[in-house]
Amino acid sequence: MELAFIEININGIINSVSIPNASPLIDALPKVGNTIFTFEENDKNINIRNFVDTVFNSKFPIELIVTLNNLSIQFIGHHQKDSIAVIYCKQLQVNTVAEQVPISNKKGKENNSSIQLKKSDEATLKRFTDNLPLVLFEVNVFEDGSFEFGFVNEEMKSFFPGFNREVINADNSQLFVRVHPDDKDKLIQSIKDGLDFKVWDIEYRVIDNDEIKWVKGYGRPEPGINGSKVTVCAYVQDITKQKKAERALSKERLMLRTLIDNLPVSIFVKDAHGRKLMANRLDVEFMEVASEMDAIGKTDIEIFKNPQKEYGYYEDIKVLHDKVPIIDQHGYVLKNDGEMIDILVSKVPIFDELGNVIGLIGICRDVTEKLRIEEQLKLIDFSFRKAATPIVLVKEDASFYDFNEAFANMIGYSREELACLKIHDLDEAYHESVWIEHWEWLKSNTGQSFQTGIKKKDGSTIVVNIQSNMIKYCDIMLNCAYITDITEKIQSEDRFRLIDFIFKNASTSIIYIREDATLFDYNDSFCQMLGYSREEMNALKIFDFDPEFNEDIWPTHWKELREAGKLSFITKKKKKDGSIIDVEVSANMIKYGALELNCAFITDTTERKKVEEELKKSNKRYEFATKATSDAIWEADLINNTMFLSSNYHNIIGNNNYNYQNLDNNDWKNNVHPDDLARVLQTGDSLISGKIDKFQNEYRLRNALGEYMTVIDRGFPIKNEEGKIISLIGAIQDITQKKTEEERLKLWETVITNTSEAIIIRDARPIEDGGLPVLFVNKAFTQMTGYTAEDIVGKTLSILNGPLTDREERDKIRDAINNKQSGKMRVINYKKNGETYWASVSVFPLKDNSGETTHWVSIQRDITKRKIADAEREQLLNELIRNNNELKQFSYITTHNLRAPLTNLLSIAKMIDLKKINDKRTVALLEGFQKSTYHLSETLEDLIEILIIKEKQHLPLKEIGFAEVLLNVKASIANTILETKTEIVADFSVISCAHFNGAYMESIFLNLITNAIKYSHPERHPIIQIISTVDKEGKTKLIFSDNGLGMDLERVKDRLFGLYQRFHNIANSKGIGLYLVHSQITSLGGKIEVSSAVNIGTTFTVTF
Amino acid sequence: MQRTILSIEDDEVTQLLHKIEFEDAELIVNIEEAWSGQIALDYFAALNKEEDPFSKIPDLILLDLNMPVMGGWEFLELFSKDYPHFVERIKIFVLSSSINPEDKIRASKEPLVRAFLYKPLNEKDIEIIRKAISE
Repeated sequence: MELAFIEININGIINSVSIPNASPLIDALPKVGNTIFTFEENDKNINIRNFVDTVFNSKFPIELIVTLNNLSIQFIGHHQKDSIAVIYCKQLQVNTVAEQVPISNKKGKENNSSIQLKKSDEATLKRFTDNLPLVLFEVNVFEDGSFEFGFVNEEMKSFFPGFNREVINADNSQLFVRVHPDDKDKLIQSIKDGLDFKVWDIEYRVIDNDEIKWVKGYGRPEPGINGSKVTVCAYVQDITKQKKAERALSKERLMLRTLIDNLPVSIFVKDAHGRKLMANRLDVEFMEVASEMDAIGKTDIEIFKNPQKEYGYYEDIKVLHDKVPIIDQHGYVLKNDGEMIDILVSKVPIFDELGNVIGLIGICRDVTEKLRIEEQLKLIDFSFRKAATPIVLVKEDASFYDFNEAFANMIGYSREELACLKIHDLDEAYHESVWIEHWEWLKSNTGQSFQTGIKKKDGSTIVVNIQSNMIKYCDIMLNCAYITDITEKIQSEDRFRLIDFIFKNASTSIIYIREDATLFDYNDSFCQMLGYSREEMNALKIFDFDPEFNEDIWPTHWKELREAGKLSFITKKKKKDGSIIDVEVSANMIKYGALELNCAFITDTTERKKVEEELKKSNKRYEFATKATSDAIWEADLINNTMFLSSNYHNIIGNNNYNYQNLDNNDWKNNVHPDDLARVLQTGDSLISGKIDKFQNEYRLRNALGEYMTVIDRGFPIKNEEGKIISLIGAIQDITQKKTEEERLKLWETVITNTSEAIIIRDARPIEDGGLPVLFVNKAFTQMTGYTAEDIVGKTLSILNGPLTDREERDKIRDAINNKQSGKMRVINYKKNGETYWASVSVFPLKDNSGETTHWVSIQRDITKRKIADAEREQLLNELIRNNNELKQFSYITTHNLRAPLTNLLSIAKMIDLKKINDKRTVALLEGFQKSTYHLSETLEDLIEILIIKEKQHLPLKEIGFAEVLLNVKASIANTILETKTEIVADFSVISCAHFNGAYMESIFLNLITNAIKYSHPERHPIIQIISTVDKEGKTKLIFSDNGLGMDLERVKDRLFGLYQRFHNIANSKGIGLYLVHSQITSLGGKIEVSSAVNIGTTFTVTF
Repeated sequence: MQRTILSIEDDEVTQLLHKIEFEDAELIVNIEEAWSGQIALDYFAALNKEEDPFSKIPDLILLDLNMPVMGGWEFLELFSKDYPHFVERIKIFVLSSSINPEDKIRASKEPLVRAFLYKPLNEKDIEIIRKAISE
C-alpha cells in the first residue's frame, strides 16, 4: 500500500498533500488549504484537534487511526520543525481493528486505547514502520520478568546490528550484551516495571563498536497477548547527539559559572526590581552572606547592613529606570568588621527583545589594593623628592635621569640647570673617557660605596660618599646613587686623629669609663700611673683600682655626674703593687655616638698632698706661735743693761727699725708718753727692788705715725738660782681699740639715757617666773611709767601689764622673743600710779660674736594721744558714713514715696475740665494747680534721674566715638537746630573717641549743645565749635565753645554746676542740665571746666 | 492812697496765689511783679531815671530767695549797694519756701529784712504786711 503525506501547520491547516496516484485516499483526505479538522466534523468520535496538539507537543511520532469513507486510515504524526508536522497516512485493511490509538493522556476516553495489530497485518505494519527513522518493536513480558520480542521494524537492524529475535527470545540476556553494564539493571528493572503497567521511559547507554550511544526507550504496557502478562509496543531512539549536546551545554554552563565564580571581580545579575538573580563567589563575599541563595530575590537594602545599601539600591533602580549603564563608578563597601573596600562598579541594563529592561548585570572591582599601591607610589615618589638624602639617578650616557631636591640643594644648581649637565660637569674624576669604564664598574659593583669630590655651582668642592645601586627601570639601566656629604666628617676625622694623638700622648692620665664601670679607653699615662700594662688594664673595672667606689655607689655617682655634667673630686687609686695614691679627678660626661662616657682627667696628687700637709702643720705651729705672742714681749736684762723687744713690738708700733739699745735709752722708752713715763719707770723700779712682784701699767705709747696709743704693760721679774732678779720680762698689749669702744659706749649710754623713748634692756636668761629680768632702764622710762631703775631692775616687765592689756598683743612679743626675732606690739600699759597709757613697743635681740642672744632691748613710746585721735577720727568717719547712708535712704524715700501721690495729682490735673467751671477765680486757681503739679512732676523726675546717676558706680565703659554721638544728638534735636539756624563745627581729628559710658556721652553732648542754643545771643545765630584734643598728661579733652550770651563767671562760678541754678531768664530753663553733666562726668572720674565772657560766649572743657 | 508791693518771685503760680490771698484779706494794694532779682534791679534802674522816683517806689518788697539768674540774697546785696536811698523807704520781707536754716539765720542778721515769712502766706503774715504798709 502506498503512503500519503500531509503537511500541516500548527493550526491544522494543510500545506501540502502527497498521495500516490489512484490511491483510495485521494477522495478521503482533505485538500490543501483546508483544515485537517474537517474529519472531526464528519466523525464525532475522533478528536483530531487533540491529535494535532499532541503531535506538536511531542518529540516523538504519534499515531491515530480514523475511519473515513469507510476506509480505516492510520495517521502517524511527527513534529518536524517549528510549526510544521507531517502526518503519514495509510489505509488499513477494512477488517483490521480500527480503534483509536492513544497517544496522549490528556483525554480520559482515550486512555485505554493502544495500538493493536493483528498478526496478519504484521507484514503491512512492518513495511510501513520500516520506513520510520526509529526502532519500533513489540515485547511480550511474562509474569516472571522474561520477555519475547514480537514485532520489530527494519530500523532495529541498523540500531542493533545482528539483532536476532529468536536468539534473544530464547535467551533474554543476549539483549543486554550491548547494554552499558551500569545501565543493565536499570533496563531490566524497567522491563519488570512494565508488569505493573508502568510506562517505560528510560534513557540508557549501549556500547556499539566501542562507542557509547545514548538511547531512549519508550513504551506503554497493555494487557498481554500470546500468554504474556503485558505487551508493550515500544520504540527506541538514538539520543546520543542530543545527550552530547546537553552534556556539552551543561559543561559549558559549569565552566562559565566556574569562570564567573573565580573572576577577581564581583559579578551579579539583578531583575527589573533590583533583586539579585545571580551572584558570584566574590559578590557573595562582598555581601557577607553565607551563600548565593541567601541573596537571591533580595535587593541591596535587604542584603547589606551597612550604609551603602541604599545607595547601591538606588543606583540599581536608576540604571533600571534610565536604561543607561554606569561604568567604573567609584564607590565603597563598608564591611561588617569596619573594613572599607574601595570599589569600581559597573552596572549595565539587560533588555528583552522588545527593548524592555528586564534586569541588570553588574561588575564590581575591589580597588582598595590598587588605591593603596597608588598611594604608596605617591609616597615613594614624595619620599624620593623630599628625602633629606641627596639621591640622583644617572643614565648610561652620564646625564641625569632624575634627582631630588636635596641633591640640587647640595650642589647649588637649579633643576633646569642640572637637566643639562652630565656627571663630569660635577665630578672631574669621571670625564667622558673614563665614564664608560666607570659605568661598567658600577654595573658589576652594585651596592658598593665610594668616595669622590663633587664641584658645586659656586666652585667649591665637597667630599661625598656615594652608595651606588644599579637598577633597571623600563629597560633603562640607571645608577641610583645615594650621596652623603662627608666633607665635615672628613674634617672631624682629622680632628679626631689630632685629639686621639693628644689623648695617647698626654702626660695627664685620661680614662673613658662606661656606665657599667668598665673602661672604654685610657691612655698610657694612666697605665703608667697605676703600674699596669695596657693589656692588664683592659680587664679592669673602676672598682679594681679605686677603693672609694663599689658596685653599690657607682650608679649614684654616675647619676650625679650625668645631672651635673661635670664633677671634680678627690679620691684614691690603688696601684698594681697595692699602694694607694691620692688623685684629683675631673670627670666629664660626654656623648660618644649612642654611648655615654665619663671622660676623666686624673692627676696624681700624692706628692702635692704631702707638701700641703706639711705646710698646713707648719702653718698651724706658726699660727699658735703668733697667737701666743700677740703681745709684744720685752726683756730688760739687768745684768747686761740691755733691752730686748720681740718682733711683735713693731706690729704694735709700726716701726721696723727698733733697736736694742741699753735700758736707759731705747726705742720703747723714747716713745712712752712723757706724762706717763715716770709712773711706768717707777713701777719698774719697785719690781726690781722687790716691793712688788709684778706690775700692770696702762700708759700711752707713741707709734710710728706719731699717734699715742693706749697699751697695757704687764711685767714680771726673772730670778736666778740665787733668787736675785736678773731681768724683767713683760708683755705689751695694745688696748687702744678697747679704749675707743669704751668711749663710744659711754656716748651711746648718754644717748640712751637722754632719749625721749623708754629703753629697757633685759637679760636674755629668764628668771624663775619665765620673764626676762630688767638690767637697765633709761630716764624716759621713768618719766613714762613712773617706775625708777631701782623699782624695776631685776624684775620683769609684767609689772606694766594690767587687766586692759591685750593678751594677744603681748603674746606677739613673747613669740618674737622665743623665736629670737624682733617684734612689735601696741598695748595698754599701766603706770606706777595705776594710770593707763597706750604704748608702742618694739623689741630686738642683742647678739654676741657667736650669734648667741645675750640681751633683749625694748623701746617703748607713749602713743596715747595718737590713739585717742585715731579713735575720734574713726568715730567721725562712722558717723559720716551713717549720715550719708541715712541721707541716701531719705532721698530714696522722699523721691519714691512722692511719686505715688504725685501720679494722682497729675491725673487729677489732667482730668480737670476748666470749661465746666464758671467761677473765674477757681479757674485761675486750678490753672495754677495744674502748672505747679507739672512743675513738681518734672522736678521729681529730675531728682530721680540724678539719684540714679549718683547710685550707678559701675557703668559699662567702652570706646565711644565722638562723631557718632554728635550725629545721634543732632538727629534728636534736628528741628531745634533748623529753627535756630545753629551751626555746629566739629573737629575730632586729633582723637576720635574716649573710654566712657555711651549714655553719659550723649547726655554731655545733648546738654552742652542745647544749652548753647538755649542761651544763644539774640543778635546772632548760634555757632558751636566742638574740638577733641589730648593734653600733656595724655588725657582726652572735648572743648565745646559757643558764641552765646556768656556768663559773668565771677558771679556764678560757685553755683554753675549746682542743682536748680539758673543764670538766664529763659522760659524752659530748669537749672538741671549742667548739674547732670557735671555729675555724669565726675562720677566717671572726669572733670568739666568752664570759661565765659558775657555777650561773647562760653567754653566748656570736658576732661575724660 | 493805694500802696504798692513789689513781689520778686519767679513762680507764676505763687504770684497768682499772692494776689488772691491779698484779695481775700481785702488788702487793696497795687502789686508789681518781678520774675527775678535781675528784673527787680532793672525795675529800680528804670524808676531811678524818672523825675520823681520816690513817688513811685513800692512800699514793700516780698523777696523770694531761690530764683534763676539772680537770687534774693544777691538782689539784696546789689540793691542796697546801688540804691541806698530807696532801701530806707522800703520794707523788705523775705518770703520763701526755703527750709535751709542758714537762710533764716541770714535773714535775722540782715538789718534790711523786716521778717522772714514762709510760703504760703497765712492770715497772720498778711496782717504783718498790712501793718507794715500802713506805717
